[in-house]
Amino acid sequence: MNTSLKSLYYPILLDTAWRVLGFGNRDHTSKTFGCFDRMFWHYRMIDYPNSRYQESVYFLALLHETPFDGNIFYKNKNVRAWINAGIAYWEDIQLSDGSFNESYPFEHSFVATAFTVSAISNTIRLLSVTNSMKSLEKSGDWLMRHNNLFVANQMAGAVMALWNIYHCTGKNRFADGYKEKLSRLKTLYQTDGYFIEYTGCDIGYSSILVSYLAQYYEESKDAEVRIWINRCMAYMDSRIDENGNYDFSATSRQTQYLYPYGFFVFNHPVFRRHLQGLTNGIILTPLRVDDRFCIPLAIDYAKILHHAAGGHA
Amino acid sequence: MKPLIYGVFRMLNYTIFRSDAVAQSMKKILIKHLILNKKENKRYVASSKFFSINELQ
Repeated sequence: MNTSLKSLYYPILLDTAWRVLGFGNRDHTSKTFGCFDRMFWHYRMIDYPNSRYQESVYFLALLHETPFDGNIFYKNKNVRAWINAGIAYWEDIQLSDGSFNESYPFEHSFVATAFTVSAISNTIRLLSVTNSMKSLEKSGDWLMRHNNLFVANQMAGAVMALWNIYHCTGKNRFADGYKEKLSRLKTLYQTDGYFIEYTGCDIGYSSILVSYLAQYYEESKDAEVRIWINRCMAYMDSRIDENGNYDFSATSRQTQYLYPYGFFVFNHPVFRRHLQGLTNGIILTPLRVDDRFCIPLAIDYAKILHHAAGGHA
Repeated sequence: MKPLIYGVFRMLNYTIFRSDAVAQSMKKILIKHLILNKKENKRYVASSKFFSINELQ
């Protein structure tokens, strides 16, 4: 593995692991064992858990399956037990129609459903878990009935989720599902080279989209998607500086982070700029964002290490 | 039960009471009955529950 990748990523991921494990209820006697929304299960300052915190299990699974110096979580049976508990809790909070809540009761959130299903199904595939198929199918059917045509990165998450569900269950309707989502996603592509994120282009959100599509491309080898990714990365390339930063003031959502996985997969120059920014200590990392964004950004970093170690995320 | 009580108090404060005096009275009730109540003590002992490396053993 690349030396700079090791020296930059290992400490970030190991420190983040402590933080993410603290998010989770690790007490097997507790009714909320496996819940990763600490404000809910520990402080009781909110009345309903945010399902998106369950994406933590994918981050832990990647650490569980990636050997590297200092990784005390690799193949640890307690970590595996907490991952299993996180998946079980995710199933517990699934709504009857297969969707999930993020911010309030009865929300039926598209992003929470797409992103948590993507994370949970990735975990299931990575660890060869055979439970939870019914929950995955229920969510898959919900995703196939719903879209969010304002936000391309959420649609990309839904593509990944349905792709995974197809591979977990073997049921052809989910293959039709991810293809249909891709055709919907295509309608959000702008001739300038970006995908619509609400009112325009957002670099941070676009990096999330590229990360999901890159992971999908690695398995599917879908040539058309590769073209989309190339164009999207080209659009972002000219707007990202030598340290992986960009002027977010004019973007549609003013996000400030950069998800690096997609750039890593295609060995794009932006990935080297991202590493430069890490070396100089001047970009956002999972340690520097809030709890909500720590988890998905940490997943993106962990996917890179896992990939570099010979695994597929 | 206790999360429900916290939730009800939050809702009442937002919607009906909207009063510092009422919030302070509720706080005293909560401390007296939920935190200092000996039967509930073990549940409300301060514990951060952050991850400890010993948990990997």
